[in-house]
Amino acid sequence: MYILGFLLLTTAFLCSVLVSGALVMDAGFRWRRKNLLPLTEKAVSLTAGLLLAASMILLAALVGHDFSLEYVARYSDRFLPLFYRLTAFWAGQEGSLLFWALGSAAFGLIFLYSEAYASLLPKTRTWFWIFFLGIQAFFLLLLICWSNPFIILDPPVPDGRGLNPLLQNPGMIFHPPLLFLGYAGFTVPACLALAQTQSDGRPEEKSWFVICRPFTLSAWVLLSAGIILGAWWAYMELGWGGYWAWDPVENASLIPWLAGTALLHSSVLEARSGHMARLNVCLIGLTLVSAFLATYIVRSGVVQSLHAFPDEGVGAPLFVFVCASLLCTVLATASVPANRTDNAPLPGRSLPLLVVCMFLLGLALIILLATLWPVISTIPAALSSGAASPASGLSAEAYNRACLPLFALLVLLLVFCPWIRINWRGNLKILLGLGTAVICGLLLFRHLTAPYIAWEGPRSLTSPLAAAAAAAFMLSLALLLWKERLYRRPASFAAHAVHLGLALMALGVAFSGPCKTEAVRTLQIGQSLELGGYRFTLENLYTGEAPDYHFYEAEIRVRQKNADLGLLAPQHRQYAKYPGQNFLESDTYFSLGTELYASLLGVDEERGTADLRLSLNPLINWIWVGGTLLSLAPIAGLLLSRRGKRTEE
Amino acid sequence: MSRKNGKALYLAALLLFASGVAYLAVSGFSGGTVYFIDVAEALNLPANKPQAVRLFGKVRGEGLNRLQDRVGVRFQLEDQNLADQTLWVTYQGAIPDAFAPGAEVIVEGLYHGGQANLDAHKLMTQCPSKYKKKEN
Repeated sequence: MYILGFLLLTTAFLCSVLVSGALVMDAGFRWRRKNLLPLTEKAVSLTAGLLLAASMILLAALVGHDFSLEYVARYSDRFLPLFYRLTAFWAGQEGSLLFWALGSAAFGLIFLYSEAYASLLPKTRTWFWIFFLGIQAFFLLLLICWSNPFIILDPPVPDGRGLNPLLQNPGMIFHPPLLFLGYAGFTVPACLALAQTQSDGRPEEKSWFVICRPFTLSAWVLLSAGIILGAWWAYMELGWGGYWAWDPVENASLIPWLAGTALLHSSVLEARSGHMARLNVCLIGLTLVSAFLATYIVRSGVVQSLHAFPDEGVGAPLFVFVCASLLCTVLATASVPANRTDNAPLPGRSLPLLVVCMFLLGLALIILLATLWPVISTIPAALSSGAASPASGLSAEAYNRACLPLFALLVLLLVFCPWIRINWRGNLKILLGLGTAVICGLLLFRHLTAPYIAWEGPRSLTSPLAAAAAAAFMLSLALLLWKERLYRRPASFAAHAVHLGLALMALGVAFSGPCKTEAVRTLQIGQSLELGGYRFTLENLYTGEAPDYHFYEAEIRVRQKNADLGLLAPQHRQYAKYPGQNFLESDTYFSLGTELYASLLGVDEERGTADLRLSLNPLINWIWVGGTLLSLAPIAGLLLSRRGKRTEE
Repeated sequence: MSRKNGKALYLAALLLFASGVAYLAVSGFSGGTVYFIDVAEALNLPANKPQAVRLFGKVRGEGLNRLQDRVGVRFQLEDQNLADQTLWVTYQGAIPDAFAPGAEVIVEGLYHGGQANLDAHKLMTQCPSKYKKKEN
């Protein structure tokens, strides 16, 4: 059965390679005997079917506890509930690569049967499938040569190693697949953009960014949701009370998001006035290349990270593929026909969008350089003396110092951009009013955060500025709703809702990071700790057994000014399959103001003491509220726009 | 003529923006660099002054002790490739999940070469990863 799974992947690979090769011969060398497109389209459906069948075989093995398959034995066991057995599909490298290939094939298939595809010229279709099948063939090559999910164990083991307990969390169930689908979703617009540069089908067909807008938006939404869920998982499950550590693997997912966000803004410029055609092709190419780069960073071990693992052979091919994709992007960008780039001056109202793009790209560049700094820092010594020198990397504080001011300025742009865009001279009073609101907010928030943020120069104003800008944006949005009647234009309304989500996230980050209060203490039963006006009392310590783990639980009573807020019950678990390791199950007292967070770090049964980490996280839940709004608003916008179009028709 | 002026203006704005971003990056990163090294490389660092380092290594079981008076741990960190190369780590703070003898960890702090001791302010265990580790 598993040999069949491998054969299905091999057939899909051969099918992709042969068809894309034939199309290259046809498009590049005029090797035309007959129209290859009908055959290609059948081959695309066939490869998607083959990938689906291979995935079903792996899923069936996971569901059926077939420990004769190495992948099943490594990522599941007999205790694992059905839900987690299904999600173990993308828990390992082989499964996640298969999932990415399947996601990419599914997006290709949706595009194939869309009205947008039918509107394309044959030459554009040909080039599209050359690029698309080329990418698909590469991932299939990884699966059949270096990352085969169908390796059989002989003899089979009686039980598997199980899924790491930290991964048995709703956040971690959806975080990886959403990221992979986000990466895969950019394949369709990127391939179509590259195809149009080769076919030059305009003006007979619409531009790629119009045709692929639903794909670009869907990919952006999936990637955003994946990143936000990953941060939420880190906060809830890891017991350290934080959500972003500037780890290379986290940064790797942020770079395509920033490039994709820049693209969404610059494509508006092209839609309005025909400007920035070259920049847009470059940006969609870079978005996809940075998604490949993210995969390379995670799987090659090129940068030491909490998540990165030694190269198992996929590093070198991925590096070559990243370089090749980058070269393709540069060549395609250079080949955008001159007549498509309008030489007329850029309308003044479009400038804010261009500035936003520059900020986003500036941030992406800084994060990319910082992430690869351990590699870059060794180059000068290697070039001068040929000897290896110790690599140096950057601390999280360095990232914060370099990136957070830019993020704060980005939020500030949100406040003013809509008014400059509409008619800045006519809106001068509103702009001045909003400027005054930002300054007042800055002074107020600086005063509020002064006990937490020591004055160390203008950078100390970053958090108050972000918070002031976020608050002023809400005022700006209310004015827009009233004056511009935004609610009548679904697409604009959705875009502003996304910006509102971003502002809420900025508010959460501005307060929860610098204004967090934390204590790590050992308490005896009956002892209390005062923290930021709250009184935490350790009332009891329990121990118990679950089917696959032993646990301690602390019962902590929380009071504020004699008012009983209730109990926090964090757990400390030891799983039978993971001897010697401790796993924390934190508990929170939910609040949209200050959330209380408790972790049980350790227990001394003889002395009746518990090591506790207690923290107060102001406004942290606004990050998740804002993140949810940011992820859902574009979907609502797409659906409402479609309904509007149908009504018009 | 006006088109040329417009382009020059855009170019000047772009250069100004790039300079601002470069300033932010350079000033932000200065003083924030940390040596990303292995235990064996740390042992070869000059002993005259403490160095900010981020070390990768494996926790050794012998000598591993929780701190008595505060939350924390003292343990020996072993080089990933050279098992005989070790140094002591004293870490004060919450001990992360999956910390155990044999676990691969990342520690960050000030390394005192003369005493072969690292005062760590950060202790992280390898990700509970979805990606399998290479088995030698």
